[in-house]
Amino acid sequence: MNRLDIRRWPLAAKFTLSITLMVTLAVATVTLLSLQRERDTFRSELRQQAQLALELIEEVSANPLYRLDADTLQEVVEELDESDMLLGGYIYDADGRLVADSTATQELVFQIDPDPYGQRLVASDEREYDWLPDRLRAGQAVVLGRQRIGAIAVELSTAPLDSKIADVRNEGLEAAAITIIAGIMLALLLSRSITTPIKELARATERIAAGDMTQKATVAMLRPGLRSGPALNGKAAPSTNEIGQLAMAFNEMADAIQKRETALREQAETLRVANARAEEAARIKSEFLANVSHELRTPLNVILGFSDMMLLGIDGALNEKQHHKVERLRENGARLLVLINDILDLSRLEAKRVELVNKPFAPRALADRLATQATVLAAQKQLEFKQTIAPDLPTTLIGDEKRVEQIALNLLSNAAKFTETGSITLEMGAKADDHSWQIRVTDTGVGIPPHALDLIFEEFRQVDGSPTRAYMGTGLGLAIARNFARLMGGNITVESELHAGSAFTVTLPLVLEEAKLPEAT
Amino acid sequence: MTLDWDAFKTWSILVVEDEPDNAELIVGTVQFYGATVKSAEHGADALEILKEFTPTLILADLSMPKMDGWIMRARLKDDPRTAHIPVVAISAHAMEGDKEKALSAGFDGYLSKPINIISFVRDLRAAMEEKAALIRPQETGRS
Repeated sequence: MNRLDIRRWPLAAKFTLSITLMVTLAVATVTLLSLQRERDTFRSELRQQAQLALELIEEVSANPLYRLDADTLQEVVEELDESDMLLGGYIYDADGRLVADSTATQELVFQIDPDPYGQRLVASDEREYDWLPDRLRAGQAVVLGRQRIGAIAVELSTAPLDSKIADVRNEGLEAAAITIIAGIMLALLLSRSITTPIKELARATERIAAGDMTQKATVAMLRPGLRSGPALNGKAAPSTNEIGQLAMAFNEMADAIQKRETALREQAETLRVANARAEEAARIKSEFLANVSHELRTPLNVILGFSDMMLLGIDGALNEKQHHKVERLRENGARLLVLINDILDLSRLEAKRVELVNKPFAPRALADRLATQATVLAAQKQLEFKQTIAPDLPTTLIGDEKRVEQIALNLLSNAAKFTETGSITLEMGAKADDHSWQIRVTDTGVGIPPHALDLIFEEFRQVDGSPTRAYMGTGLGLAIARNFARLMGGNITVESELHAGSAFTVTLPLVLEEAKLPEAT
Repeated sequence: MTLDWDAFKTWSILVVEDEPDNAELIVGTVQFYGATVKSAEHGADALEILKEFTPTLILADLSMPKMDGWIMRARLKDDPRTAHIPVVAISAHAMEGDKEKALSAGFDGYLSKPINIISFVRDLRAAMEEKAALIRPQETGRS
């Protein structure tokens, strides 16, 4: 967000900046220190010169000062003027009055007022040095015996010092500039030598992430020893620095990833082949079952057909024993047909080959057909059949009517099968708030023990073993019914009390015709 | 095509079936309900018989030697003398989609084996009405 946020700068920039700052600091410190040193040296030289000058003046001015011979004193200071460093010489009397001035352009008019500087010098026991902006002023009292007879002062120019310091400063600045530029270049080179391989690593990582394993070896910086050290025994000597180690670790990682990827791919391929084989096996099994069931149906068709013809007496009436036997023939043939159909359904469900034919249908017409068949089933065992249709059941629903009928018939025939006395009830109704409708089949039969409530929906299961002798059937019916119900987006649930009866509820999604065909209105 | 189901007794039916037991069963069933019946062993046989015989309805198996039910159905449609005769398929191919395949191939109904003698006429009628119901929406769509 903030581009000035130094934490977001590239590594190379940070590195360059910090090296540059360090170099600049070092050069500045060195320059400042040398300047300081130069100035100190020069100042002490200047002081020595001032001291020499003062000693000379003291020597020659003591007598004239004592006599207050102003002319001689003036001569003394004017003679000093020969040196260009010396800006001026001054002599004061015992009261601090200026009596000789080398810088005076005219005859010195005798000063009546004492000069404060002169007074200070006269009172001073030591030499006084004052560093003025462009000069050094040095002065001292002149003592004869015990008497302070005056004071003398000289002024020396600091201009040579300034120019010398300027020279030193300029040299320092030049050196600093060169050093800083060199520093920056060094920093750039260094940071590149670090960031370039890192960038290469980053790029290689991206390529590997993109699945390109072969590109790894072409990363120049990642070839160990390419930039560091000579070849060793014909092999590139691995770089021993951290970047080199990182590169080697990276290559190892890339190799490991490649190996793992290859292994995974092989594994996936093995799985794919196994899966394809399994699917092929399932398909063959399903086709085999379909073919077998076709081959079984054809003769069964004949058995059932001729049994029916004989029972109908088409070729003459049968006597009682004959009729009974043909009836048994017909009934067992019918059971065989149910079994074949169940196996066929199950193989279709397993092969996921069942396609639902969803069309509008009238649930009340379905209920009527179910009632007709349930009445027959109930009558065979002297059971009562009851039917309730809730008024909220829509007149038209959308769904696979044949499959719904198959499920309901299965439940009804089960109810008849497991009930010896009492009744079978068929109820149908809708729950609009759940978007579902229900078919409920209740009986007053043997019931199901609690532990078996889930088992009954498993293939080839009946409560007392598989398959039972007490009750005919394959045990496939409920498994198929529940599979179909779930395929339709619904389910079958069961409640039961042992020796009191069972209630099976089929819940199916409520799809109204109006909802599917809005343009029909 | 309108069929008078109450007068099934007055109908004449050609049964095309290669398997002798099944042929006898279907012929027997049709006879039981009082209709006149002739039988053919395969499609080519049926075409021969149809030169001199125009039934009310043809009941045909699908897989047969020499000429199967599919080809026969197409041949009958191509001939103006036989194009109007309804043909109902009777097949033991009970796999999903067989019925749809037959109905879209021009059969006027599909019955799966085993046939039920007791409900035969009812089943036959239901099969033909189902096919008719498939056609009707298209017809209304055209008008």
